[in-house]
Amino acid sequence: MKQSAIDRINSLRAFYKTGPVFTEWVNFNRQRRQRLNYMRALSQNGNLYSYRLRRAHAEAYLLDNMEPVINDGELIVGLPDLSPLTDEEQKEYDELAKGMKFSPQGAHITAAHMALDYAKLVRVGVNGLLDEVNCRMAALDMNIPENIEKCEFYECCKVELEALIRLQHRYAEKARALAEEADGEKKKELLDIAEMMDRVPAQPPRTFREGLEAIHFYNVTMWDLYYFGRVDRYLIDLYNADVAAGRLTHEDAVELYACFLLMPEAYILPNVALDAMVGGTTEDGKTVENEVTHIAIEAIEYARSANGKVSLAVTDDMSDELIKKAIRLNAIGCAQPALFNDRIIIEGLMRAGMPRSDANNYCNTGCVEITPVGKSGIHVVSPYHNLAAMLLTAMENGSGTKSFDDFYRVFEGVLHSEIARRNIDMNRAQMERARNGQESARVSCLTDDCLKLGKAVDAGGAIYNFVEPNFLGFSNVVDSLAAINVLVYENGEYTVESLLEILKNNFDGNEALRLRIVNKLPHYGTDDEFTNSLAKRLSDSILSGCKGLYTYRGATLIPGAFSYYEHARFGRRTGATPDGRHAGYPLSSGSSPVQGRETKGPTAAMLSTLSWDHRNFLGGIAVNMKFTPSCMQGENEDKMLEFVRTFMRLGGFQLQLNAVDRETLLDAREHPENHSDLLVRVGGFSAYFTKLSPEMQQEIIDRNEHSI
Amino acid sequence: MSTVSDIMGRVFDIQRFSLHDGPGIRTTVFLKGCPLKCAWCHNPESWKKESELFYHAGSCIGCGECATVCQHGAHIISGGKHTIDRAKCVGCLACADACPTGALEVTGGEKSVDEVISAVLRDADFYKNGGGMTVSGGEPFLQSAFLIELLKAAKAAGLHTAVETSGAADIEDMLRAKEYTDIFLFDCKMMPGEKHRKYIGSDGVKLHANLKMLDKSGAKIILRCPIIPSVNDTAEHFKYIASLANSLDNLLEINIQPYHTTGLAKARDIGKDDIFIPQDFDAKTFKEYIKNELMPILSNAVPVNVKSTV
Repeated sequence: MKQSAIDRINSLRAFYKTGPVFTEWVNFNRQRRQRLNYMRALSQNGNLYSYRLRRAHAEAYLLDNMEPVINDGELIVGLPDLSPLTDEEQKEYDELAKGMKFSPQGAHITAAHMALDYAKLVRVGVNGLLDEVNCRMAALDMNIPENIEKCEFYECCKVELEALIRLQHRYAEKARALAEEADGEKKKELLDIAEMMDRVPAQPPRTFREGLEAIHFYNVTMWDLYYFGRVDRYLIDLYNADVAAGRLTHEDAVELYACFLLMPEAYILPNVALDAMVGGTTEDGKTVENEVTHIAIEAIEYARSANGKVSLAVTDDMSDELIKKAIRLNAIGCAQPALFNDRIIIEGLMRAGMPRSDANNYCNTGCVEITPVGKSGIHVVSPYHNLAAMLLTAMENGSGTKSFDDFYRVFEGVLHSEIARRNIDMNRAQMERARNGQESARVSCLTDDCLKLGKAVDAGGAIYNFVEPNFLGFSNVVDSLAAINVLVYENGEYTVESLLEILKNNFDGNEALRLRIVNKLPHYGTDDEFTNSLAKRLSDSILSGCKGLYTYRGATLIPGAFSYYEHARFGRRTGATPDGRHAGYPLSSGSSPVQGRETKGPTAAMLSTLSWDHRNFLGGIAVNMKFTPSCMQGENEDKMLEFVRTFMRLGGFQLQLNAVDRETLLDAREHPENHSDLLVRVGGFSAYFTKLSPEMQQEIIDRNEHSI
Repeated sequence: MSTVSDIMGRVFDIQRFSLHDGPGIRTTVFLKGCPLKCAWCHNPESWKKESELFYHAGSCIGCGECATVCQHGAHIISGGKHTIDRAKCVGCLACADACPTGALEVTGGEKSVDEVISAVLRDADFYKNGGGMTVSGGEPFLQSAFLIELLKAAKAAGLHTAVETSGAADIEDMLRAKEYTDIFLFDCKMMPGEKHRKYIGSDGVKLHANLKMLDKSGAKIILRCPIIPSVNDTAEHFKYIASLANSLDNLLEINIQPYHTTGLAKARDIGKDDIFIPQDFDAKTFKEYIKNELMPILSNAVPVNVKSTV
């Protein structure tokens, strides 16, 4: 890539990282200035005849009062105004917030987290959406009572979409005003931006760059986690047309995509992923791997973005070259792309009732939560369940049980009643959303069949509406069940009560027992038959607990077993568990083995995680594996490719290869108990870092510093 | 009459996801016992045939469970500190069983061919692209009957097989093993002679003669050359590697393996105190040796890899 392009990307990244998102906690859901305007509007528009319409007008007011932001060097533009409030504004903000009684709609159920139909936006533009809204509104027979509600919905769409176009045109004006004062290359860049903002997103994009601008601009004004879906499917024609016309090279496209990837750094909280997905298969089973697939993946290395991400849906027919690119990016510390198993996810979606034509077009929306693109009213991670806490409750309830199976039934009872109880909470939240709305109308405009039905996503207008409850502490519970089985039912050394007493005292005075559990008892993650069978049993119990329950909109529950930061948050308030985990320590991360228990190497850890059927857990499964970079590079790249292919072949859901950085190695030296799974390469062999002598550990820390 | 399942092997480790002992993803089976005594050995627990006791002092919490079960007073706990008197140890290894933390750990144990093969086959799915089983040691040919049966069983299961050997073996055994071995990872530690005897415990003549005979029989060979500072990091040695390589017809590649210190901690933990510690080592120098001494002489057009990155 040209040095000027690299410089541009680097300086944009550096600039965004000095912005308020990175330097102070900005409420990304509705940043303060935006929220102020939103509250101003709501406090004044009480004369409008419904709360939904008031919300839409407040959205429009907010868009109309946004100051266009164009920063030096940007090729893709559009960012919220994050300038701090003046003292006077802050006073007004506090006053308004005091009086503002927001409806509790949506409380306790996850908002956003869906991929919009950006393919449609690229096809018809916002004008096309407005045309559709107007036509459908005009066709309504207003003497039919239910059409009144539809009409209101279309009106909300119209109000918001028109405001979005006004904001777009103010961007064009701003770019022209800035161009007046600039000269040379800079002037030209600003005039190009002005021309682009004359066009998109109102009209369909004509170029690859306009395509990226259109989807970014539409997305950024909702400042929440809406996902881009399959960019390599809906941008490839624009790319090809550019190349055919001699307007664009592959390198230019990588630069543009890197700029696009960096935008979320400026408006989304650090480490919240905003993904596009590439790869996968078409309806007729053909692998999607085109220039844009490669461009998006290659851009990762230049952008090195924490928030803007690309994930790869891996297929059997995908080229080794593409997967090796993905491995290499993870090896050099980009921490992306995440690798999803296209076949397994499609089979899972079809099992959940989707036709192949929808199942092939999914996206990870958040971390690993799977939802269909442009058709989703799905709530992911709703709610987070704490399996470890349920196990402790089962120990309270199950003191007299005579056999392991009896104890397991008590635990399963706790699990099932908890799933049912929390589902009622979720349904109440959905009911409140159906009444008053929560997502902006622009979300519904790009979600099928909302426009067709005249129904917002919150009212049930989306085609797919399942809820994805998510289960934390999966591996802690598998290991805990194994420990209870050995200590209580096989050996008779303890009773459930006596063990619980030890846990309540956080293993104080019982460190030898705790270490024995950790070091001598079977663990999930070591390819041990018994713990593998417990994992399968637990996953079956989660499924049977979800079965027969329905959401407010009449859809089913589809579980997930991953975690974002919640395993740490929930861990802090969960007492000691029978797997040897101290009170307050993080729960196991996602569906990976308990931290430090995968002592038989990555193949064994992988086989354990594959011992249960991932296809039923579309809510997300994350398998994290840590390697020092050299395990993934050079001659090992081919071996890592085989490792990835094997994972996919055996039915794994998602694989995250993590390059271990220096900080992790230093922490592993200080706290070896948390890192016994850390595999490093020494001379001619691989070894566990924590088992190495101090001299050797130092050597690896020193060398690793150079190889990252 | 003895059958395959009657033959027991003494195994001290089965390492899965082995990336450096041949092509693809492999499982390496380490057989215990070695006739050589390489001063720098990175697997000092592989020397004796018998099971041994590791004591990892860093993991000990001084709980005293070991002292309670030990009938011979080999474990002494005093002031919360654990000391071990290896002279009193009779090798019953009850202490390791009782130890809750893994500070006391048994290395080595008897396993049947079936047991080893089923452990190796756990990872069969990962071997698809050239991977398989490697047998290492110790010196695997010290248990040649077991080794050959193990290789036979691996072949019957359709696995790619490799054997890592010092060459301290009966050539007849090697030729028999060859029938079931896809690649030999053959050591070239030093030039045969007195110095070889001093550091390794034999003069090396037979080892390298075996190498050449194995090569002539058509076996595929990778030369594995550990470079030990102050012992063989010399221009002369690199020239010798080149000339040895030139004499082989079936050589696939040459691995240059820099010294590392893992053997030191393991030697300490099995109570071996005469530890050889090489002098400081300049990695740059040996890269120069490869460039200036080895490569110019090497006429055998095989790749030369340095397996040094951590």
